[in-house]
Amino acid sequence: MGTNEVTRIVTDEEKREAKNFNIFDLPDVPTGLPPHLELQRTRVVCKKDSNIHPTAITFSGAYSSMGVDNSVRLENFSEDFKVDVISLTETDMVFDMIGVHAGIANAFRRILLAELPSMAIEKVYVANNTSVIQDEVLAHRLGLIPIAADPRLFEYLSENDQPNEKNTIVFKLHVKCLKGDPRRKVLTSELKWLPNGSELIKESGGSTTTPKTYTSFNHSQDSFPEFAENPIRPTLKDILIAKLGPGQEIELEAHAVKGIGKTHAKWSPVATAWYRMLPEVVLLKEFEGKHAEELVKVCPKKVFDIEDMGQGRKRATVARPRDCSLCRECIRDGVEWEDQVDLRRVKNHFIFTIESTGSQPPEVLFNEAVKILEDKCERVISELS
Amino acid sequence: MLVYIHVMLLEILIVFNECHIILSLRLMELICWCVDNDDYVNNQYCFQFCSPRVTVAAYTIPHPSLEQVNIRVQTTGDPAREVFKDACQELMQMNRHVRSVFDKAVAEYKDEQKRKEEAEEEELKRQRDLFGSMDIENN
Repeated sequence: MGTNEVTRIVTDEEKREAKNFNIFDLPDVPTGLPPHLELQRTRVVCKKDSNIHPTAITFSGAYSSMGVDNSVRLENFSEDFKVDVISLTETDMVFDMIGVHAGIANAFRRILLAELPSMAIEKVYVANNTSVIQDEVLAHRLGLIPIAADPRLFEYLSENDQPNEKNTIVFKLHVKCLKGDPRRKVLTSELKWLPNGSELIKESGGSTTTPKTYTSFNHSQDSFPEFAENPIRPTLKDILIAKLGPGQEIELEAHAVKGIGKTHAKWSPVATAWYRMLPEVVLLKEFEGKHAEELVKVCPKKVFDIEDMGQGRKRATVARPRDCSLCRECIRDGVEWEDQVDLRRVKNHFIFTIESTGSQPPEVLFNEAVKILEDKCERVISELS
Repeated sequence: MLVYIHVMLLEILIVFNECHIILSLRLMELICWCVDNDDYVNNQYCFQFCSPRVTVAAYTIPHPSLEQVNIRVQTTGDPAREVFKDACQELMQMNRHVRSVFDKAVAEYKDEQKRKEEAEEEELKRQRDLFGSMDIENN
């Protein structure tokens, strides 16, 4: 007949090995992204005429052919997220948020500006105003005065509610400039807090009943433990409200209520809140000698420095990349400069700045903003259930 | 099949009494109008669908004067509503983590500042003592 062909028997071990085979386990297959794709994924490159790669890549399978998982996972976020506090005072705060998406940082900023509550004067009852400032202008100026009171201790006042000690703060302003006296300033230090509520009597037809005021306080507000040591007052004592000439007088009562910045900017608890991405400045080629001096001179923010290398040789280094404002002065003069200096922004590193108006410390404001975003998620989840 | 879709419609309509839901023949597509959601919150939802279970995640605002957002979620097989809920849940947990890390960082900064102040006071005291001893030498 001929030769018998011998059939090779595949063992179970070989079958199992083939099933578990992964091409990325081979020694010569690279892991991770190549440098140019990693740069594109993590950095905005700021060229002379426009920014390149500004959008975050959010598709989970964007790099699946290279074995990189681009999906967002809670455990990865928990490991990567970091906060560095740069400076913190009673009213100002600068901190770094590392490892968050731009959308989340922007959500925090918008909530800080427009959805955090604070107390501001809403109703002004004018008993007497003979100053040159009209009633409505004076009322508007009073409304913009920041008040140092924690809004978490108060409730929102709706149209059906009666003003009481839980939703209203009452201030009194009574200033007089006598004839013969020189002109005087009316400052916020003249605004007196009335913890027992309104002292202005309502005008009513019959005088048989007890005279009514504009609020109905059941308890004095200074009996609250929070206000016993920290009485309610305007944040600053020297904000100018009005100026009085001789013989002029202002007598009024102002009621402050809780509100959010979306309704009126006077209720925004931050003077402003903003962020920027961390600048990154990379010298792709060496700057030496006169060229280095030109580079240092051209930067208005003094990002670069001269490094002495001995024997009269000098070169430029990036000393303060954080100060870079991306004015592009260093890459404005032609292609040679643009090819040698690379200006970038880190896509997930945010330098956050919060300026508080004084009602709450800035770190408390940020905390409350994150809580509000949590509440929104909870509401959507409960709606879907 | 028709009965099943009908039941699904009834169930969802009862749950979403404030929303309108259109179910296409593909049950994996869920388009809903959620009232009183702001733009940037829904940006988070799109972000949170950066997940292997989702093939399409998008939103549109029908008109800027209406407080409405149309959210579309298309999945690989899991129910779209469950995926959406999971995303909100995960976003909520991320926010909690942000808060805890932030509080820790603020506490660390305050401790550091206090330590610095104490060190400065100690240095000032030492300088004062040195000055005192110099005075004694002069005398």
